[in-house]
Amino acid sequence: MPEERWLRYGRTGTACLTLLLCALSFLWAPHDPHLVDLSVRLQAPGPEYWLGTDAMGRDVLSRVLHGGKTTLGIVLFSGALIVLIGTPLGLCLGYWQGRFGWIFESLLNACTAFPPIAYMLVFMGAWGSGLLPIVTVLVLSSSLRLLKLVKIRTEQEKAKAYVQCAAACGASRMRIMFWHIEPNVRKDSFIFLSLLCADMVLLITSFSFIGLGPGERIIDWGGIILEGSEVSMLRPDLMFYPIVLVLISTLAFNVMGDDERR
Amino acid sequence: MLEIENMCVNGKDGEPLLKEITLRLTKGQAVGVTGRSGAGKSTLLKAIMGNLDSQCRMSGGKVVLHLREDQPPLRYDTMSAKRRRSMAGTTVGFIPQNAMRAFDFRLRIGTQLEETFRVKLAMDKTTAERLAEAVLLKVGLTDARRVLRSFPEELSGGMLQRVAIAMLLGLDPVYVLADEPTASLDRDNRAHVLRLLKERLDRSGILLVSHDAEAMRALCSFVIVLHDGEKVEQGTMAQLLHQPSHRWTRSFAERWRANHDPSWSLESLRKGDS
Amino acid sequence: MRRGAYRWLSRYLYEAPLTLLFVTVLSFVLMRLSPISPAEAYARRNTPYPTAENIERVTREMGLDQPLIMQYVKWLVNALQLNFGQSLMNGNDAWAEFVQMVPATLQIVGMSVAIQITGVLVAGMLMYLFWETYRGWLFRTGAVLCLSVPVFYFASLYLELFAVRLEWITVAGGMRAGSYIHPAICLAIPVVAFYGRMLGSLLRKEMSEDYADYARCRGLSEARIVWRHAMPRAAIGITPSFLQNIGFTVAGAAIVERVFSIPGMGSGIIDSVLHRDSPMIHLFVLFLGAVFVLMNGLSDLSARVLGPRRVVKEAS
Repeated sequence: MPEERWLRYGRTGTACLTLLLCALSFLWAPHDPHLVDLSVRLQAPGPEYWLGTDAMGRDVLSRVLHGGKTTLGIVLFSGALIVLIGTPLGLCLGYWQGRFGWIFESLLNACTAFPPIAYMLVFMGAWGSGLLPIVTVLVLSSSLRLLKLVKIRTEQEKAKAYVQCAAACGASRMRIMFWHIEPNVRKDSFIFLSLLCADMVLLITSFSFIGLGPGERIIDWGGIILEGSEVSMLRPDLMFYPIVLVLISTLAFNVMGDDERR
Repeated sequence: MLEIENMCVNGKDGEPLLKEITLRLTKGQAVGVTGRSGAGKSTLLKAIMGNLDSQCRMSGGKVVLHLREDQPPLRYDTMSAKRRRSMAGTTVGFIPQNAMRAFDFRLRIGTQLEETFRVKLAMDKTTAERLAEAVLLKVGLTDARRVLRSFPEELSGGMLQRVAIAMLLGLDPVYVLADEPTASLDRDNRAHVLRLLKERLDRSGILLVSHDAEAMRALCSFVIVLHDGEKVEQGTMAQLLHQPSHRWTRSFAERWRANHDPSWSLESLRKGDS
Repeated sequence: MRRGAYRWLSRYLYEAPLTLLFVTVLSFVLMRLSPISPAEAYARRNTPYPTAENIERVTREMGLDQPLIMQYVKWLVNALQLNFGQSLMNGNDAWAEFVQMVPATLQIVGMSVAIQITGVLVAGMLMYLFWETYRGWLFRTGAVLCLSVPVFYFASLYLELFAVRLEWITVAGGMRAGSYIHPAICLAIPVVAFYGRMLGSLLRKEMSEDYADYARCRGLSEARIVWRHAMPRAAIGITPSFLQNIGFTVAGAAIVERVFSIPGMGSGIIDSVLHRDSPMIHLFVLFLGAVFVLMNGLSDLSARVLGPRRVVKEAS
């Protein structure tokens, strides 16, 4: 039904717009988020500092907005890499019928048995926290899961009539995979990715909160919440502001990945 | 007597699904309802049972039950849902169209029969089981024990349809609403089911929704034709077949004649709608 | 079913150790490839300015100068005898430290799972009953909101509300069983939100199936149809996924334990990771791996056993 589709595109579009806003909102930050000024520390919200200042006298609003750049930047960048790595490999592995396919499958099952959080702990234990380990581990672990999903869907689609017709017409393997099969797999991939991104936002924020974040000089929401928790007796609201943006971003991703209307 | 008076049903966008339907059903009589697919036949049955889809509503008319001479008539449509549900099965019975999908595939036939009898007829487990076995024998499923132990998928469509009738016999309702009971059956099973329904006429009135001209001719004293939610024609089956007036009835009659009278040509089949 | 079960079991029995092997190898390899070697990290902790000689001595002591495979094999052999070395943070036996932390986490996870199951059933029923009303829309929106907030924030809020403001619970010295219920509740919130909604949606689908309609026509009450017919089927539908999710609960316990200052396994993992305590990390990784392998196995098994036609309990 056309109205339903319009509604769905509308929701996805609104969600995308929201995410874009959150990610780019740092451009409108009124102050320098790194500027330390101990003389104005822990001020309540006012005309100059709309959300007040934190324990180091930095403007909370600017910090929160810059946090969006970091967190969503990581998520969107990782997401793009995950798609670029996972989709072609998944299509190939799903379409290719080799004698040793079962080796790959067992390995894949072994790797995807663990969620990203387990990989995060292992990587962080080895390499410490920081931007590079975070992005690396997210991309690696999630690409494998996307790969598995695409592989399974490709195997399902391979048995269908349109693929066999294409093959009979002499279409090359590449063409079948990327021109014929891929669009049919796209929807499931999209839903998976959306929910994955929602998870990633929460994961990055949580790890940042316990001290395993992108780094000292980099502002992100989890770090702000951590700082806020240290002064929660004096300014209990400091923890709340970044959470609002976390909520909005994650909600946007969840809305995009909502497959109830399938 | 079960009386339906000027029933109107509206669909989810307000479009009328049934317009001013009136009919009467008495014990010992079978009334047929036929018409094109989508004409509103199933909607009629659902409306009487009170099982309309959540977006559909009965917007006008009455369903009245005259159960006993000495009791006042009951308004079945405005009754509380709970009361109507308690009367379903035991007063107004139902035979489903697709028996293969009508049973819960997770449970054995015996369990489902016994559960219904236990709950609706306030029996204990043993009595319910005995009744289940008895009614299965009555519908001609001689290996009743095996049927009771089977899951729905292990039985054929014909057998399941007979199980549904057995369920009905156990509940013994005064009025029976049958939704195309012979639709998916082969000739032997069809004959069997028709015979069971005819025997049932002693104790009940039957409202038979069907496309099966033979069944309606054998069973029904009176048939109405629905088209786009309206009653467009009525009469005995013989009248409808030999003197049809509405367009749909005419094509229906022609198809029947083509199947039973080889002298009619294929040409006449090509006219008319489904 | 028999043949399929044996095939599945044999596949599981060879995939499970493979998975565990994989994760421990990964952990090992990453540790050795790390920019900072554990020997250096250890030396730095004990001496303010470790000389190259110090580091070399520690390296030899820790056996880090041997080839990687030898190190791994040695670790594996020791591990099979439950010897995981000593913690680099406090020098205690790694296994002993681990065993001390496990009960707290197991209790939290156990309680959380119990709360989750109850919560999902209740939430599912509520979502189903009110699906097409305004209240239902509120529930569903609430569920999505609960899923969009990190668990640690719930934990912080919870603590803030009940410990600080209302002073209903004490945070210090929380080793009593009673206090484990609070992190258990926090861990359960997103699970109840997610699976409750899924259950409600499944119930709705089940209740519109043909068998439900026929049951209504037979005169069975809505309550009976929901409880005896629809609910078992819907619950079976979410069981495999739910079992797999328990593994995630164990992992999530890490963060919640931090917030509630409970010295369980979760805090242990985080501390080890923060301090690069490699023997402990390897042990934790092995344990987490085992948990996931177990839960995934149970999940697969349940999907098989409770498949479309298997009757778990007949409606009576």
